[in-house]
Amino acid sequence: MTLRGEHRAFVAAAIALWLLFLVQAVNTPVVLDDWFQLRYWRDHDFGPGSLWAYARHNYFNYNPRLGEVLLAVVDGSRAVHLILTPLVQLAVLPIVFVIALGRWPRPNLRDLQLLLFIQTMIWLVIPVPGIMYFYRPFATNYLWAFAITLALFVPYRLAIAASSTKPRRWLVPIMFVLGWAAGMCNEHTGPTAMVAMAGFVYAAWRLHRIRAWMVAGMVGLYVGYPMLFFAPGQAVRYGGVATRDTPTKLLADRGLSGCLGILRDFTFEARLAIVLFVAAVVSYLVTLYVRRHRFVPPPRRIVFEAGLLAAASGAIVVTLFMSPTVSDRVFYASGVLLVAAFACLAQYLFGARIVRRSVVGACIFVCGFHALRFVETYAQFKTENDERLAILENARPGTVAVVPSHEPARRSRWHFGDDFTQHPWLGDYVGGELFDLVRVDVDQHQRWPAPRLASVRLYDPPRDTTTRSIARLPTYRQLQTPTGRFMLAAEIGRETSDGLARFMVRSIGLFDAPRHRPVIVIDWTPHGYKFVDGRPHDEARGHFIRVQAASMPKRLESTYVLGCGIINEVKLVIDSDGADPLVPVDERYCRGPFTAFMCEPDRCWVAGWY
Amino acid sequence: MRVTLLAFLLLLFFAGCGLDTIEHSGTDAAVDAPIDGMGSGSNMAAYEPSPRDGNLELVVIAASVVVVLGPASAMRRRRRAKDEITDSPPFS
Repeated sequence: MTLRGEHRAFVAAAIALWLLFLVQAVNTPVVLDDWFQLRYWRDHDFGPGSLWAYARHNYFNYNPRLGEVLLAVVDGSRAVHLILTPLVQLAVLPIVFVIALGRWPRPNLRDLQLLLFIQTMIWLVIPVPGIMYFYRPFATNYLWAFAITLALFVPYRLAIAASSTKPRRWLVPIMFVLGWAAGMCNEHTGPTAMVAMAGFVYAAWRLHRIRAWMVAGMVGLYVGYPMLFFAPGQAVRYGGVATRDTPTKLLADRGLSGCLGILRDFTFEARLAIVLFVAAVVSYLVTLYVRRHRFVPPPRRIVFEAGLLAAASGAIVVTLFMSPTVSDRVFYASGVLLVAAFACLAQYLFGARIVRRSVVGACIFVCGFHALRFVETYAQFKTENDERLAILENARPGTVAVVPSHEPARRSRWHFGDDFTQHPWLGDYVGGELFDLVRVDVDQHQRWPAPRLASVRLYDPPRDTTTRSIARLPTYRQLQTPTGRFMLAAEIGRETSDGLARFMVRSIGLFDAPRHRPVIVIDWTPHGYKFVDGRPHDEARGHFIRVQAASMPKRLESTYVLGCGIINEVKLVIDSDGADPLVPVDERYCRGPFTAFMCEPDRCWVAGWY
Repeated sequence: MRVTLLAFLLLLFFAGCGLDTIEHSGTDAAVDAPIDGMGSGSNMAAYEPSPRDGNLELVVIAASVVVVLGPASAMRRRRRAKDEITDSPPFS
């Protein structure tokens, strides 16, 4: 092929990939976390002021990651989504190329083949590519976030690989902001990024190529990451799971087998990419064998760079040993770095034309399979999602809407599944908050009751006794704060003049108490209130919910802990010194919010959380 | 070389043909827990295994086998064809 032909093929391939991402952006449905963004934009105009307010609130009270703000951006404006999302997804490719090979891709056939290899490997190595790329909350929190982190390293990689470096003072503020943004992206990738950054700056210093922008980027990263890690919102997110345990405690809890289990999970998720890469290596060796050529090891620089990239990939996995939540999506960054290591070695293997051709052929096949599955899956998903939205929009406020279920209901490698079926409370949230509906039901799947709080009011003299749900009822954890108790007092105070004699908040649908006893959160009468106060408590013996002795139910019969969807009856740990009783929490099988219940013969109490 | 090929076959087996006994640590859902963790996705999806796609595994395994065996057989074919040309008498 002529040079001009290669150039045209390169541009055509880039446009084709951009078109694929654009079609997918057009077909992106509104799923799960997207609804929360739409709820925000329902009450706010899209603009910098609202975004700043959202970011500030998130930082102090919710998910402090930058990806959450990016999610609000792409959910807030369809135009921005259609422009930015495909570009970021496309940009991942040259960024990984630079990180792997230390230079920008050139518009020729050889680099196009390497880019195809990288894209195919990324889709194979990451656990759920259809969700990671096209479910906006995962895309912004992982794909966009790691693209920003890698983009920070691009100038460093190019500077170290080049023979000289220009001062470029104008880069100083840009690199500081980029470094800060990279630090604010993800808790798991930050430590490895900081070590890698120190390595790059040290190497530049040793080579006498240190520049102000390099230091600025490093300072930005070293400011951004602690800002994320110690953000006040971390204490609230996932029920505060991120701040409950220290890294050393998590390591001790997991033990060697638990940590090896995470490594094994990563290897398993990456297995298809590993197989294809090993196939390329074996093909290379077979070719040498058939030709009776001697094996010449790759240059030391290539081996060194590939080793460093693989080590960085492994370091991020090791960081997960100390993370309270390990799920498949957090393997994204490690997977991409592993692909960069593979690409480093692939450039050497591609030196054998026959190997290059066969690997490129395989990549076209596998890449095409992915593209087809992406398009076909999301075209159907979008149609179903639009139908669901149309039903919700056209439903009369105050009524119950029935929406068709998404198929498949469970998630797959390509598809998130049906968010309303997986999270039964979500339909009610969406119906109530966005469309003023009483409830939203899914037509084909059996509905699990969504947990909710309801108030029971008794009056003296007796009159209409009602049990009704009130959105403004303070939750259990709010009732543990002065603000929450003030909210409740205000609610009660409005009706005391009407003869309110008893006000009880019940939890419905959260805990299926044996013998169908009611589950009480708080019970108020004019003589006082009853509230069982339990909070997280950690000590050398393990994790507990510590219940204030004075607030314990008088006729306690049994105690239960609900966590990970499992209810266990537990025995209280009562010390001889008269300290508060402890409810043991077993985090061996899963982590997440745990709730304690204490049962009397005729009723149960919500008795604390962990 | 035979050992290399055997090792590769074992890897293929690992990739797609079995080892369902490998368990995954729980995955948590995207949604952040409500303040009490009531009905949040973070505990509901704790047991959901990472989904597999048998068709993709088949595609990758087929592609890998072609990558391994394709070049060698192509070279053998070419060499045989070359040998035939060399062995054949001129102007036959």
